[in-house]
Amino acid sequence: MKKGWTITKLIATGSLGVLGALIFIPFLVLARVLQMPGLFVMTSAFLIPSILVPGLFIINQFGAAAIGVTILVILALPMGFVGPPGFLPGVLLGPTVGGMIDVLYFFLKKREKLAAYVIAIGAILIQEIFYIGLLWLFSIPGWDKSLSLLVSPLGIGFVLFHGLLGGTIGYIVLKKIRKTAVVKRIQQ
Amino acid sequence: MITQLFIQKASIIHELDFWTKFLCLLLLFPLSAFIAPIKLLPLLVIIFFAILVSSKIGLNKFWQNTKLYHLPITIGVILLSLVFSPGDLQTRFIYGAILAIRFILLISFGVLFSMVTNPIEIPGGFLRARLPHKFGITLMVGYRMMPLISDKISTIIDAQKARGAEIRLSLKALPKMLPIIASLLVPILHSTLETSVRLSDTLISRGYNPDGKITVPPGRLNYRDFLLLVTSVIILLLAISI
Repeated sequence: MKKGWTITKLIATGSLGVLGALIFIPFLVLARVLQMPGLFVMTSAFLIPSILVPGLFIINQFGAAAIGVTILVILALPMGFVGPPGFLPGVLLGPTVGGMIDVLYFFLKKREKLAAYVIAIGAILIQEIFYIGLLWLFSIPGWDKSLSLLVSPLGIGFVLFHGLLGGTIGYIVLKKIRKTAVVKRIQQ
Repeated sequence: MITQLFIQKASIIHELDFWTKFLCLLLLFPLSAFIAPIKLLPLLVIIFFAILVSSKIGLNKFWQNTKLYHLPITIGVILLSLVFSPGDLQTRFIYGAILAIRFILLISFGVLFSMVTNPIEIPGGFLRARLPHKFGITLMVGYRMMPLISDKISTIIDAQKARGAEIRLSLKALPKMLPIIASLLVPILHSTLETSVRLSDTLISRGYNPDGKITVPPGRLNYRDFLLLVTSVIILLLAISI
């Protein structure tokens, strides 16, 4: 297996970011049509780890999550993925959340199943903390209540439910895909 | 889908350099709108409308694209302020209304950036910023890959439908969506990775070296870029100092 970033690994990471952006579009449209922005997060939070977990193990490179998520949020900037369209602070989600996930992967990559669940739960938790951080940064009234909600049984339940679901799906997808020729080709 | 907000027009705002639009519309003006004292907000509103008119995007068109953000955010911020902010009812309402104006400005500048910037300008801008070009190329390829992967997802969904899978997105069908999504993810991921390998092979076969030198797309700031940049810096300095 070749060490370091090859162009194949970079393009594969970028393509996973593109896939993430494309998968969220129907959920964004549904939430926008129903005028329920929360619905987007409620229904699709598990999708990030579902792509992130197999993506990290396939690329197997420190920084893969940071690059992939940054590409996702830059591509989704005009779509209003994090906040309204063109909301620049949302781009910070990529390097911050992605970077933290990379650190989690770096320490847990040898214990795959555990890593899949920890990364999945961690990804959703860090993302939620990032959103609350944005609310705090812009002094939105009630940001402290959002934090209280996150640490309440309902918030913990939401994170665990989506994390375990995303981790399971991600791990199943990884198992099915990792022995294919295309994955071997990326890792060469 | 990603280009749905971009409106092609021959205007002086559309012709501005990517980094001018990025710095002014996404960074300096929104930042000023957020930290400026109340008496400076009308000036920012005037500047916004001046840019909007110069961009030749009609007010009606702009309102149609932004009302979905403006109305819920205005109502939401005022309600949140009424419930959670300290002080009497009038103070809380005024605080909420001012915060809503700041948010409307922030969103408006962001949406205007999306309307006047072709998404393909973004990776070009990254290349010109002298960031390692392999990351700029990755982003550029990412933009180009969107329709390709989108077509592949449609093909896979059609293939699954032909096999009898019921795939439709609605609130009622959400619980059933889970196994469907799981069954779709494997072929979609595989197909995406295959496309990326093919694209990277194409890049390598055309002589692209991720660690070598590359020709950067041309771009030069003109007097309009400088005018907008200087204006936005002055507004930011005023917002900080007043």
